[in-house]
Amino acid sequence: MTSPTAKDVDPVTFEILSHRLHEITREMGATLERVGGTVNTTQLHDYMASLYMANGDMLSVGESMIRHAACAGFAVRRIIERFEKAGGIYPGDIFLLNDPYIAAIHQSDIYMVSPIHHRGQLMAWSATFVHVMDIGAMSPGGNSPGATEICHEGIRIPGLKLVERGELRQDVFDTLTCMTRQPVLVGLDLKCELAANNVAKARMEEMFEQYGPELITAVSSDMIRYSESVLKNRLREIPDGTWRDTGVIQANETWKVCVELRKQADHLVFDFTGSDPQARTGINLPYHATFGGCFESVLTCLGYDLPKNHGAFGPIEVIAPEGTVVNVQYPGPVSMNTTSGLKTVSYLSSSVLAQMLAGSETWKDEVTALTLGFRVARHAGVNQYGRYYVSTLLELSGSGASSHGDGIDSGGYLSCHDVEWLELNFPLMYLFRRHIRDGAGAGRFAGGVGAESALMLHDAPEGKIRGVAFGVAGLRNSGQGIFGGYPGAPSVMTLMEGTRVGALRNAGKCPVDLESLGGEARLLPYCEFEVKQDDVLYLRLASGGGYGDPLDREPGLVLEGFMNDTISEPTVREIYGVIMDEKTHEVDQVATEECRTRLRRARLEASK
Amino acid sequence: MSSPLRENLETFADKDVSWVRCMRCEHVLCRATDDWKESCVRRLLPPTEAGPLMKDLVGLFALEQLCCPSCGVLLNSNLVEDPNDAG
Repeated sequence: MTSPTAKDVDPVTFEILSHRLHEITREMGATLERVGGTVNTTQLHDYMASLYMANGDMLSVGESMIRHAACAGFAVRRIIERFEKAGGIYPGDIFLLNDPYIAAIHQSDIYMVSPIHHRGQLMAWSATFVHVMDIGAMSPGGNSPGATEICHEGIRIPGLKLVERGELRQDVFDTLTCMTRQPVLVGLDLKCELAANNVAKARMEEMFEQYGPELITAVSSDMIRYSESVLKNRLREIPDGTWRDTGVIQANETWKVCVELRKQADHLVFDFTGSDPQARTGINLPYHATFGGCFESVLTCLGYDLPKNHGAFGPIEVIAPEGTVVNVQYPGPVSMNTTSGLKTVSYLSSSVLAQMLAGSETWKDEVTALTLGFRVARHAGVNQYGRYYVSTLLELSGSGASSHGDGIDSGGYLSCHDVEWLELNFPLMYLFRRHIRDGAGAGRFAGGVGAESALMLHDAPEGKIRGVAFGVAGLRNSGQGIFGGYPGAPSVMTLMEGTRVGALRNAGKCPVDLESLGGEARLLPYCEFEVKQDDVLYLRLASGGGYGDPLDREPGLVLEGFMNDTISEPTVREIYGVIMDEKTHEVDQVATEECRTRLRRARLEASK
Repeated sequence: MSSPLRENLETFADKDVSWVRCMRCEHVLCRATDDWKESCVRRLLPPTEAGPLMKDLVGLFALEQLCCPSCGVLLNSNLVEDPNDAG
């Protein structure tokens, strides 16, 4: 009897098996959320769950960060290399790794990888990461603006066995959690990863038992071949060429990142030659993270409907010179890289891909403007219950517009935390959280609107808490528009010190406009800061860039934005050239056409 | 025979030469081998032309616009370093 191959499987069974693999990764994600201990996992979706072949090739990615799934593939391979030689890989083992020079992106993202055996034979791997709430770095929460080398950024683990043949190594577990500021909650985060890997193991073993390992392996291999084949065929439809873009990571200093995309037939080369030398601030990326960012951009642009697996690696080559911000070498720091260097690499790789797609009759409608904004803060101190805590403050940015629609308001792959939950657990109170007015990049299709919020201290036993500001800082951080679309408003994080917020609250007022608060405002770059009584912390997240000429936007959509309070009357008139009836707020079509003709003419006259 | 280059721009062949033209008004900007941006009307504006929340960028960045020289359709917008920034 010969072993079955994927060709022996009817298409229905093939579909069932491929979807079942994907559903396993979804169940792993749900397990992370339900067992996890901190907001990053339970509310923000800052995690990843995926499956790999026995050799480490990516098999199926859950609905989470694709870049991390690529990096976890490197983690599986490193674990195989290390433990095949010494220590062994046995049924029931679970390994832990967070070394950014080996496979992780920064130390806070702890990867766990687990072998999946069937009747004693290694058949596959599962992998997860969660962003743990503390990693013992110099700043609470792990992202350390003051770090100048990786040794300032917390514990670094190149690979260890946390579970051996099904038994948790409690001594190792206690050692890890005791090196953090939040041992109980970090312990829960580690245990949610154990639980998710156990779920994967159980479900995969059921599949192997039901269908037999040969068939599952054959279908898995065929899924990978299918993704690679379709992706390469799509690339062949697109004209060859070279496209370039340059971006900057702005904080207390500025670093340049350059990319050139060269496409020939079904091969893509992302070449980052010319990018700045690595920094002594934690914005640097290890090579695998730069690869992961490009991999994610390719899948998002060209393979969003394909099974997300190793097949998409095939057409991609990434050149990132050693010792640069996109290929950091020891001891370069990395703790803030996911929200700076990686954001920039994702932005630039998407930008050159968008230029490439725009030249294709088949793919031009897939082009999307981009978003670069992502500011975030950690906060730490003693809460209203007298307990020390560390947590995250996050709002969401708007995504870029596309050739067929507006960008998504306050969207993205992360979610934001619940306001009531935050106020219940931490000594902070929201003055407001809302969508920005006049933030979205104007265009034939408008960018998505970012969110803004303001918080004050409330019931803080020490009269202050500590904050850490990071993310995509600097003012040139909005989503650039595309093909004439305007850029969105940039992210801003401001500390307003010595305001009248306490007096206004005591007078029974709820201030919702910053102008009424007074005080001294200062923009927060990458830094640590304190929030004290009568201070207000303001966060505004970037809005997405627009697509196409704003004067081509359907007037009815402009009016809708005005009615939703996301654009003001001057923007309606001056940027979109739409004239509304003052009383009824209906579009005056004739006046609008005249206004737009006048504005187009003014563009030409201004140049004379 | 024409093929899209990007929103509002396309290339077309006339005998043995390929050209770039505006899809809105069919104004020919340049040969396909040349940089079409050089043939556009270029304006440098305060960043607040893109919206009032860009006020923090005044003096640091400018909004660069590239338009079709014939019909004025906007072909590209970009934030660039403000050439008037002394700092």
